Amino acid sequence: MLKISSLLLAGLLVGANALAADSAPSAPATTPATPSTDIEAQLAVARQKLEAAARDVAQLSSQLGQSAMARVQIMSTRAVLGLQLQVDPSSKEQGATIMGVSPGGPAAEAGLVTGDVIVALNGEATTGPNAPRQVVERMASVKPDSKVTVKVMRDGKLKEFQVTPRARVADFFRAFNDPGPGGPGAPNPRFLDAFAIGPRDGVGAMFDGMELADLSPGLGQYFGTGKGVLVVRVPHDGEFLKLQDGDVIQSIDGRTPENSSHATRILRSYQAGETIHLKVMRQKKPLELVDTLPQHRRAGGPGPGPGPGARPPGDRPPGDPDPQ
Amino acid sequence: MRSAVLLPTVNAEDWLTEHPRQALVKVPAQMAVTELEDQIATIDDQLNAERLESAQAKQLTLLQRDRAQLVESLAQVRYAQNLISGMP
Repeated sequence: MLKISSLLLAGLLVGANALAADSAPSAPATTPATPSTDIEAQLAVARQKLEAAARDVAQLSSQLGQSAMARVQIMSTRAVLGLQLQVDPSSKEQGATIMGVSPGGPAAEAGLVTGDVIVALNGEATTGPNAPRQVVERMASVKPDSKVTVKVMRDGKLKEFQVTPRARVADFFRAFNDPGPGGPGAPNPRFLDAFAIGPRDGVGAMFDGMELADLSPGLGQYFGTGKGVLVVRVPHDGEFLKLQDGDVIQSIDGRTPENSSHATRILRSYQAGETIHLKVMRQKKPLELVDTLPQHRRAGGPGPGPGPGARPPGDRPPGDPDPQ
Repeated sequence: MRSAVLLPTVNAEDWLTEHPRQALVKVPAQMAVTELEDQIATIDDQLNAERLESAQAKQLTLLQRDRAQLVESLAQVRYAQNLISGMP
């Protein structure tokens, strides 16, 4: 916490100093306090800078992650639970001990925590010193987006969790593994666009300005549906998908978003040229919306377009690769 | 319970655990967050496989280093998200 705070605080201070320099007062020091509207404007600018800095951190980290994925060579599983298992042949634990959960991963979202001991997976016991291997081997036959029942021992009591594993990133990389204009080794702009963290003229830019909210039971009652995610703000490009504020997205090409983050994962998986089918609830009435992501163009030349191995538009078997 | 190589990211992981994602998300920013989350989960899966199959110290160290950097970045981006939305 301290490290994060200090790093961001340092960035904020730099930003604040820059703001102060930009708006150095020419009036005497006895001038009354800056009007609140000015402060609000400065705050808006500071937030924009912070957002841009966060985007830079995400983009650079993701590029780093692409290098890391090159080390992902043992394809033992296709769907990941998002946890690390303790591998200790001399362990006396009666199962596979979780030594860490991936932040924001499937296991974490389901409620599994460090220290839990997995004693069964989908009803099959995982026991003895080979328990970690049993977990990994059984996950090899699990498909992303399927439900996995994980039984654990926690504080001497048995607990059961439903985990929805996600596709490994390597699966995404295989779908995007044609070299971009930058050549081998350079970040593939098609990949970055798909994840909306590259230059803001790609596919991800189509979702700029869009805000989604989880649908609580109370909100669901108000909007006339118990499932989906609420569109709080439509994308800046209001023509794209023709969504309206207050729409509830109930399915995206047949997949039901469980929450706003899940909806984002699904949207993240689309490429330029692909068609999106939405089922929404608008003013308590069902409606279907269809639109196609544009083939973007980059400054200085045509866009990369579909490369070898790219899926044709619409060729997306549900769950393969799945954006869960 | 955590291994020594995980220690550099403990603070970031603790912060992430204590601050679950918000119900309201800006889609482009959340796309970046989910990308980082998925990369971390993939590395964790790979770490399991490495420990079971070979446990080569160099490979484990590289993966742990990659993971630590991604976790740190995820925490920073999430922290910025919270600041921007007024809920640090």
